[in-house]
Amino acid sequence: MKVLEKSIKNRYILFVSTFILIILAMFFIVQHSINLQISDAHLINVSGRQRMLSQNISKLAYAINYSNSIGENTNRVKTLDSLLTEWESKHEYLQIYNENKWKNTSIDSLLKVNETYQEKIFNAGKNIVIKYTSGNIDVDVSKISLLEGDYLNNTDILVYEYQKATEEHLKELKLIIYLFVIISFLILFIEFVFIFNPGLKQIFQRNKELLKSNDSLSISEKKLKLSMLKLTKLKSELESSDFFYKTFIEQIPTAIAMLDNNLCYLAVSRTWIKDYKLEGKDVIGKSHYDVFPEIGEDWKEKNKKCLKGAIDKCDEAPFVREDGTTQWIHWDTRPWYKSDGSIGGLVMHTGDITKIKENESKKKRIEGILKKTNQLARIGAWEVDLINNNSYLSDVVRDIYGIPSDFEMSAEKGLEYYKEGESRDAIEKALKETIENGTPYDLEVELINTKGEVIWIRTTGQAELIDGKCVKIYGLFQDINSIKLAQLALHKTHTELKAIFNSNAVAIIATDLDGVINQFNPGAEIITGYTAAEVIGIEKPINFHLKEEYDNFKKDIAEFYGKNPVGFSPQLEMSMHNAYDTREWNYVRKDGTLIPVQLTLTSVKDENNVHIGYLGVSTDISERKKNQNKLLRKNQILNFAEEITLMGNWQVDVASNKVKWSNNLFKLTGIEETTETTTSTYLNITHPEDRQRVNNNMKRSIEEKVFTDIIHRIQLADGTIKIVQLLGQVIKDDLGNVVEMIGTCQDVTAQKLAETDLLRKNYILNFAERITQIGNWQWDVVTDTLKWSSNLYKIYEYDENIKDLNYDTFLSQVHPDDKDYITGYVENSFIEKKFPNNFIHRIITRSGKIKTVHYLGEVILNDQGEVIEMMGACQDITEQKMEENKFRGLLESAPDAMVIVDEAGKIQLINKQSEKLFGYPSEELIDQFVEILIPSQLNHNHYLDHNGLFSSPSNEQMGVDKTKELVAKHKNGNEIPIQISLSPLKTEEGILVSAAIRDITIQKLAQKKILDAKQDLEVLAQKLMIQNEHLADFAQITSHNLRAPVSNLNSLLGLYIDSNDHDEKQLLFQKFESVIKHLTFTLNTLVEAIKIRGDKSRPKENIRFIDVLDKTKELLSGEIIETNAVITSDFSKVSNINYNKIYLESIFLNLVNNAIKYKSKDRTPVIKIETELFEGRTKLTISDNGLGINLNRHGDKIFGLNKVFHRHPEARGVGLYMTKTQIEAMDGEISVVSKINEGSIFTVIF
Amino acid sequence: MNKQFNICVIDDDDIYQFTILKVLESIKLNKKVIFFSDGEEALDFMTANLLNDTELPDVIFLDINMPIMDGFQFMEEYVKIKPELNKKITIYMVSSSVDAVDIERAKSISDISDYIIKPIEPKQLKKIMHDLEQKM
Repeated sequence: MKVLEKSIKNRYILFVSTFILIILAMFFIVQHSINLQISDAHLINVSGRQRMLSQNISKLAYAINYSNSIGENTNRVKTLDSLLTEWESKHEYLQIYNENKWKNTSIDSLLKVNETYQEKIFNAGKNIVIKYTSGNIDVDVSKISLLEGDYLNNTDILVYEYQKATEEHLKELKLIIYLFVIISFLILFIEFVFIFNPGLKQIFQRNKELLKSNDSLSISEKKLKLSMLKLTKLKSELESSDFFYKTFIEQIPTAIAMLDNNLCYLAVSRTWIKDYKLEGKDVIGKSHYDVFPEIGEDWKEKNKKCLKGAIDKCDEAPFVREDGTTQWIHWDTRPWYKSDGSIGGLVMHTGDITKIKENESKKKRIEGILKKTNQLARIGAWEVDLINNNSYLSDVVRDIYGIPSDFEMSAEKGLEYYKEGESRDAIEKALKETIENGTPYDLEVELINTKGEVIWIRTTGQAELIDGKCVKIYGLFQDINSIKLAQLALHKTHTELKAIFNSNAVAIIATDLDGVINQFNPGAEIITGYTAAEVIGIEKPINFHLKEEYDNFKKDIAEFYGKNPVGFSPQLEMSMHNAYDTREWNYVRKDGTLIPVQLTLTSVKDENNVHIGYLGVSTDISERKKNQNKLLRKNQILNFAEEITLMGNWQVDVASNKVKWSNNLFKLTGIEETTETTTSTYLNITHPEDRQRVNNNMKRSIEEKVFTDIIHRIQLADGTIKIVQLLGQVIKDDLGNVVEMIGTCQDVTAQKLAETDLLRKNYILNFAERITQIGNWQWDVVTDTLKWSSNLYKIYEYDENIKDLNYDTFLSQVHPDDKDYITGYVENSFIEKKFPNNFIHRIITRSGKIKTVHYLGEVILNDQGEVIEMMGACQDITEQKMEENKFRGLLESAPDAMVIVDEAGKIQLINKQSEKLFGYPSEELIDQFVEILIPSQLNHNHYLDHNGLFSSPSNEQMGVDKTKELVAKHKNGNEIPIQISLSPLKTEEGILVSAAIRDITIQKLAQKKILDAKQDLEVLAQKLMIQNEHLADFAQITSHNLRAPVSNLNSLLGLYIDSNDHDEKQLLFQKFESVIKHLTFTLNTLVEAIKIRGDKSRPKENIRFIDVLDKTKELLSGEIIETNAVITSDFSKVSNINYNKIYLESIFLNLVNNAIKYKSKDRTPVIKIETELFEGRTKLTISDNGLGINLNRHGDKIFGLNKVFHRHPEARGVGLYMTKTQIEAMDGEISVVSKINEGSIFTVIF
Repeated sequence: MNKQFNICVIDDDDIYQFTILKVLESIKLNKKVIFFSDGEEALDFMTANLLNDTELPDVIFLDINMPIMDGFQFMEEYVKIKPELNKKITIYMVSSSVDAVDIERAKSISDISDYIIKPIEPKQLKKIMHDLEQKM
């Protein structure tokens, strides 16, 4: 379409531009013709004016001629003159115009005619103008008038001619315009036909096509509309069917949901909504997982499978919802299929079984509780099938028996568990009854379970009868051990109570509500002196009491309960409060005497809590009273004693926490005597730092039922600190519980301070002794008593409580081996009256340890100079001794000779190895200078004489890495190569140097041998390497240089045999010749080389280098001249050499010849030959400026046979090979350095 | 099948050149035999005709022992220009050397198809040419 548009546009532009061009052309033509017309008209006009001018001229001429007035004539002449000029110029204009433009011949000729007339008229006119004054103008006037007529005629013709020409011009114009119009039409027509028309055609064509496509478009649009309609219809149908499904699903009474492939809800039933508490939520269209974000990956996985066609069913599973509740559900998830058979999504059918599940679990719970209860109450069931003797026992029963669950129990076996005697008899009898008569039983019997425990059990049994015959017995079995025991205990208590009631010690009197006695026990009889018969139902106990005591009691109780004592019954009041009262009374006995009792009054109630009477329980306290009084008296004495001893006493009633203090205790603690004291009173005055300890002590005393004595500080209100000692005792009741504590509290401040001081001193001493392992001793010789300090006991591991020590004690501990000399020492000390200073021996301690002790002591003499006492210290030096022994052992066990030297360089200690090494016994060396063994050595003595290393040992100078090899001297004067390493030893006596010395004679010898062998091997290896190289070279040569011609010969031979052509055979034969020649040459070269190598007896002579060079130049004169080679030499440094002359000449010839042969094309060869000394050998260098050799490529084979590096006709690869062979045969070397296109330098070292 | 088969012999030994030419002439094959006296000449030729498949050889019989550039040096250079070649060139190393060092070295070069010890038998050469022809 664009192309078309463009082409049409182009055509249109062409057409329009043509049109414009035509119009422009037209415009020019018209313009031109108008111009022409104008000029034509002008010409006619001019020629007309010429005619008129000529008439005027003649008129003027006449006038001038006929006038006499000079003034008038003057004007006329002037006019005439101007007319003449105009006339003339106009004429010229016409003439020029015609000549240049029109070129009209008739006009031209007319103009020429006119000209003749004009000239004459003009001249006449001019004459008039000049001569008018003279008046001689007649001739001229006549001339003018004569000519005027002709001129006018001629001019008329001229005007006519002009008009004619103009008409012709017009005709021409007309013609031109016609032509132009025709041409224009033609052009336009052609354009239309060839340019515009095709475009139009195309447009039409296009238009047609457009119309056509438009048509088809409208058709398809129609179709579209139609299908849209169908679609809408389908959609509405679908919607309605969807709606149907939706409604259908919604109405289903179970929980069901329909989901699409993306698991978005299509429809859900109302039950679904209800089940999952989705009321009010719009789920349709939402993703299943959005609605239930709690769905886990496993379910999602299942859904995915369903989407692929699987069916997922589950009978029950917990569904933990987001809010934390658990729903139990069952489901059936399956895909639904679209009409085309593909899966359209999922249908989920679920049910909420939470309620059922809950019920189930409730049932389970109840069952569980039941089971639990059974276990707790320990009730179990059992049954025995009598026909096949099978039994069933519940878990609890088994547990009671103490048998495992897989234990088979029969009726007989079961019986064996019952306790022999009563229990077993009873059960056997009962069982028999049941089996025979069907009588049920219910027994409480004793059982011995497998653990051996005796348990009370209750067992019931019942028979199952078939046809009057017992086939099965079943029943319950309960562990009632604890119940039974409690019962038994109760029974016992009851009996005991009964006993108490009947005892004599306690008086028990009970009354009814009226106060009349109804119980009166024997105890009461004894205390009151009445018999029971005398009082029961008759007397009231009130009669046994003193009036004032009873009143006091009444008053107290009334006061206590806030009642008026008048008309008040204290017993009744107390009964209402379930209270009792215990106090001391005095009973008035039957005989009138008084007896002190402690009476407890209380009320009696029956089991329904109905008040039925009163009870009084009393004991005779007359004995106690007596004691009390005694105690009081004693107390007074005690107080007095306490005051003296700075002691107080105290008494704590544990139950009430009441504390009684003696007077002196109050004084001691500075507390007012009237203060109510409790345990906390005491704790308050206890020093804060000791408070916890004291408190704990009290508690512990109660718990452990033993009072622990304690010393602690108290701090009085005025700040005084005292140290007190608490001594005490606990008092227990019948049950063994602590009810009371009593004790003393003594101010021991002064004592304590003294004691502490002593302790401290003792402690320090002990400590010192312990540290130094020293004990002290004292021996009274006269009484033979020995005293040891505590640490000495420790050293001997003796019990410190053993005090009766004597000399035998001491001796018995001495090591048996040492006993003799120790006895000697002791005896000696008596004689010498001096304690020996080397009293060192071993002891065997109580635990059997062997220790070494060192006794130091002094003897004490009496006035008679007899030894009466010895005393001193004893030190345990076992460790020192051990260290020494260890060190000694170490030294001896060292594999090397060890010599220990002091700072002065004197030998202190040597070991056995040293003795062996140096041949001296150790005694001979001790305290000798070390130089005896290791003489100063020139190159080492700077550090190994006693002023050197041994005197200033330091780690840098010694140590393992400083091992040195030196020479030592044997006693017999032999020198021993040794290796010595030194290390410092810090001891209390100063720094010692320990030297470890090793004899390395053997190593040295071995080392030398190895070195020699190594050197020999190296020489051999060198030789072998050279041989090897030569062999390799030779292999290379045979491989390449000898095999090649031979193989050629073979090939040629093959060709020769196959060939039938005579000429060819001839040719081949020539080839044979050349190969054989080459082979011969190579073999000769080789033979020569081998000869050179093999011949070691080459004669040498003194040769001057310059002579050899001269000879070389001579031999190469031809080449030198040819190449203009410049050879310079400098043999000033080394001018002569002792060498084989032939070889040297050959070397020179080859090297110089090469230098010339491989010259650069661009340079004149310049060769420099020099000698010099190099490491004591003669070095020859031959350098050139030639082609150079690519050493990167050929470096490895430059001196090989037949190696050629230049395309030179004479290159044969023999020269350098031979040169090298010769030089090497004379033990020399040859090498080369070279740079391409710069030159080479060959260096020979002879 | 009628394509021209280019055989290149690189060897400085003119007798060998002569004999191998004789043998090659006896084989019926549309071929062209080019001789080079050393590796460098051959390499220069190949470098000049890198993309000119009609000139490049199909098979090269390469000698080891040659002046200027020997067989191994030629192989070193050949490996460098090989990636630029469009043509598969089969190379045989042909040498009179029976030195195991040479043989091992030649076999270690993957571009060398085989090592042939001189003299090369006409039968052997024929077989090689036949095989190559089959491959073409």
